[in-house]
Formats: sequence, C-alpha cells, structure tokens
Amino acid sequence: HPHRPTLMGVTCAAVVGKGNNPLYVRTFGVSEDEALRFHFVVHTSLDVVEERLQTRKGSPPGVGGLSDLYLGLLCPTDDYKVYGYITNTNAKLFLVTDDIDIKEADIKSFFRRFHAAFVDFVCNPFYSMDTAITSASFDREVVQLARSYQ
Amino acid sequence: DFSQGKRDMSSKGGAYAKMEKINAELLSVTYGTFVMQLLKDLPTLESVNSKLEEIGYNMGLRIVDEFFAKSGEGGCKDVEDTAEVMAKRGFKMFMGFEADIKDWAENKMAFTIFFTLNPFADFVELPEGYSTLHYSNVLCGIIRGVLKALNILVKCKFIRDVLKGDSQYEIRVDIEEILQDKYA
Repeated sequence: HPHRPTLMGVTCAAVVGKGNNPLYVRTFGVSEDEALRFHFVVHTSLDVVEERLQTRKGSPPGVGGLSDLYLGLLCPTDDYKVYGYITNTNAKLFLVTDDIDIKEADIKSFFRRFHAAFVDFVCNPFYSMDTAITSASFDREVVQLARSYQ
Repeated sequence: DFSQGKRDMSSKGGAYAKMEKINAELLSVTYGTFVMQLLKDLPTLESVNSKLEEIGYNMGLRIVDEFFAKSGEGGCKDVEDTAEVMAKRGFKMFMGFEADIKDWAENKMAFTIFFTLNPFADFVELPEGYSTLHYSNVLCGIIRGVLKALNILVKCKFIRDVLKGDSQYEIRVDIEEILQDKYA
C-alpha cells in the first residue's frame, strides 16, 4: 500500500518521442532522487512497448480504431504498475501508478485526456516537434489531469 | 460613393453567414508556421513585428471592398461610426466574433479596439525572451489597411495581449489624418 503520498495514484506521467527519446517525465509526490528512478522505469518499459508493437505486424497505430492506441499494462514492478499508450504518430505516453485498485476505465480515460492535452500542445508553433517539453501550461494541464483521478 | 444604403440590423449575422468557412485550426497553424518562418528569416523581433504589420496592411486594403459588397453596409458618417462598424460588423464577418470599442480620446482622434478571442493565436504559448514580439501584429496591419482604404490614416499597436498574460487583447488606434474629401 502507498507509503508515500501521491496524487491519487498517478505517480508519474511521461511522454516519449518516436525515437524513444524522453520528452516529458512528470512525477507526483516523490523526492527528486526518486524522480530519477521513474526515468529508468519509463525507459525499461519502452522495451515492452516495442514487443507489443511487434505483435501488430508493423501496421500503424490507430488502424484498429482508438482502442488500438491503448497498450495496457506493460510492467508490474514490486511497487508500481506501468501502463502505456501510443499516439498515431508513434509518440508514447506512460502512466505509472502505485494504486493497486486503479480501474482500467480510469486508465483509459486518463490516456485519452493526456493524449488530447498533448495534441493541443504540439499545435504551439514555438514547439519544435520531438524536443523536450518545457511548457509551464502543458505541465499545469497534466497536473490538473492527474489530480482529477483522486 | 458609399453614402447610399442602409444598415440592416436584422442581418447582423448575415454577412458572416454568407462567407465560406474554413477550419479555424488551419488558420492558427498556418499563421503560426508563418510567424516562425519570419522569426527564422528576420534579424530581430522588432523586424518581425514590422513585417507582420506590413502584411496585415496589404490584407486590410483588399478586404474593405469585400466587406461592403457582402455586408450590405452603407457608408459610415463619421470616424466613430466607422470604428464601430469595423469592430462589430467587420470583425464578425472575417473573424467570426464582434470586437468592441472604448477609450475614445476627447478629440475623437484615438480609440481602443478590444476583444477576447483571437484565432491567430490559438494554441500559442510565447516562450521566454519573446516579450517584445507582437505575435498577432497582422491584425494591427489589417486595421490600418482597412482604415486607409476608407481614407483614414492611422497607427495601431497592441497595448494588451492575452499571450502576455493580459485578460483580453487591446489595440490602440491613433488617427493621424482624415482625408477630408471622403466625408465632404
């Protein structure tokens, strides 16, 4: 059970570019040292994402409809569960949670809204595609989104 | 001669309804990419501001005839009337919403046009170091061009900008000269 305070079980939300480069890693309720660990967690989850995508035999994401984008549980570690989602342009979204009771419907709706926030954000002409996301307002949106799953 | 013609209040939305529509996001993304290109090509933020204004000016000169043709508006009897028609009917027709006028100078040679929506700047977040960029400066140019076509010479500048944290957009319009024969 959670022994550190987290925002309703969303411990980390991350965006990784199609080249597997991390663009945004946001942790909630963890110390700076521990935050680094989540970079690692996300990184190792990428291997699992690759495997999942292999089984789709190279067809582009989203071909099977919106539900096709949700990749499901990628890795359960001792303390956390990592869920993945891929956008139509091969950016990957991750949700790391320590909430053992989290409902799949909530995870999917989190990803839908996270995806929507990302889509709006990339329309900012000042953002260069596939670079680190430093926008304060995108960050605020993600924090607000995470809070709403209390 | 624009002195004939009546203002049809009932067709307030009529002129807008007659215009062909495109997706507003296309406008935002096109304009944004365009501003980024200018930022790459021109040496200073000030030169980008000027270029945007110049482009807007050329647009403004042209759209006046379209406005009168589609809106059914007649001539405006004075500067105050012109400003109101431009803000309410003109903005409505081309931008899809009405702007408003306030802060008239006592001698009626300056006013502020204000609005909260701005499709040019949707999705935009100005990064650090861009506080002197007037991202939507094309609008100042458009206003200057529109008024020039009506023989009113003005200078316009943004005095409030939502992209810089203000609650609405405000453009200050200073009238330099009214070419008299228009209103003889």
